[in-house]
Amino acid sequence: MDPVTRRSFLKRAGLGAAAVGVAATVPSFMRDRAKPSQMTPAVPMGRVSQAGPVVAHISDANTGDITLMSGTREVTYHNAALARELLRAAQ
Amino acid sequence: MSSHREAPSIAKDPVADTTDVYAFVSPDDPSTVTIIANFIPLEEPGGGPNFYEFGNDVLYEIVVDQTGVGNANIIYQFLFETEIKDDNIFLYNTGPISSLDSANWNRPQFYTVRRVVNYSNGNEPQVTTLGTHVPCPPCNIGPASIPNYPSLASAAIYAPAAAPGTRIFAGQRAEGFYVDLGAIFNLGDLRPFQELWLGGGSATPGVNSGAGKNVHTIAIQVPKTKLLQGNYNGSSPTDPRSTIGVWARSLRQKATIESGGVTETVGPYMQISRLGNPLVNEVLIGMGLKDSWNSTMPQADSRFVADYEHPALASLLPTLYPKVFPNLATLNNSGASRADIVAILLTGLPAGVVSGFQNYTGTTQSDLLRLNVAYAPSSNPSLLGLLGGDVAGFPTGAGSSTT
Repeated sequence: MDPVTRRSFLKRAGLGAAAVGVAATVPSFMRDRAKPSQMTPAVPMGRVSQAGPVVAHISDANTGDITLMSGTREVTYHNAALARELLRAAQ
Repeated sequence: MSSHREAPSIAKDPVADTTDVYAFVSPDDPSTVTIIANFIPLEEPGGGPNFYEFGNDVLYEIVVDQTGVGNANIIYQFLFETEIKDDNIFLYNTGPISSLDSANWNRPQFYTVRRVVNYSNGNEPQVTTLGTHVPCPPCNIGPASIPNYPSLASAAIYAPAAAPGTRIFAGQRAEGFYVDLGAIFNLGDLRPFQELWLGGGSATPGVNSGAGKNVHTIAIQVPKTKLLQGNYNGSSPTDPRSTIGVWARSLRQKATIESGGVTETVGPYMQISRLGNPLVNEVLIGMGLKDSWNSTMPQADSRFVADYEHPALASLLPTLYPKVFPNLATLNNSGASRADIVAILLTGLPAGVVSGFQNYTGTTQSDLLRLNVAYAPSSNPSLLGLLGGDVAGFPTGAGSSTT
């Protein structure tokens, strides 16, 4: 490998930075929303209580997806009919 | 180094605000690395009657990336719980607190600490509980209540039997962040240079806004062999295994339910604050993305590279201090990307850029405090870090030489 000089490194880094800088041209509303893979996975920890609350979360009525949260975990399952029923009850 | 109240949401949640991260080869034992993560900025020591404590509903983590791609290869997790000895007393303490189990201490706090190793081969993480019900020291609230805080802090240093050579501390310490907050965010006012400032004025001494304030610190001291790939001892600075990426974060559960003075939390833990290099989210990331930045992993930081390439602060300095930054103004006007900032903060510097120094972790752009553990601590550390010839100082880790 050729010896790296300060000038050559900055020149190469500048080209590299310009290449990934393409992301900057993405519309701002897309920049703001992190993809699920970029969100933070956390190794579950904490006091998992069998007697704790259970929360159902419907973020988009059109999908029929219901996310249930209990303890430190969540599970999402699909039930369009139940989702509609829950939303009707909430109104 | 620091990032206090740097984003809109976390500024409203100081208990979970990651304020400083330091990582350095321990001067007292160079076979180990010390990592410090501070939370809860600018605590007023007299902030009673309910003094500061870690959030019992916050998961605090120190994260080590062994491969430089912004992953969480090793995580030290901390969860806290507070006990109340007498519900009928309104006081934090009913007499002097001279030991961690003092009967006079009405509201002691304890923690559980785990070490998690995430394998890159897809195997389940290895989780080791290093301690449960480990005591924190009390807040240093006054000489009558705390006649000898150093002895309590020392007693709170925990050496887990499950991790020989490791030491852990969690509790209140003095703010290390020295900055003139009142002036600097008043349109970049630097009091000693006010005669050069657009806002005008005479030169006056700076004011350290952190002086006399406290933070809550989580500190770990870990053998190098327990942090590097393959239990490597970090003897060679040119071995890529010698450089680790360090960052800290805090997480809250997805849902909170308030009912009748009782708070319940449920759901997976979601990251709400993170910190690697100092001042990134504070002065590089735009206002509209600061909360998003706090919620994402460093491995995805290429999406923010534009803020590193063309930092807004650099464009403001020639205006705020006319005629002081002609070279910076020329650079700004050229439109050139700040490849130096991208390199220092997002990839590290490879060998050859600065003689005798490297902390390069590869091409994946990720905001990590990059510590090359092969560089021994300096006997005369420089406040300027690498710029002052101190290869153990910033940007490799952020040791006690810099704040």
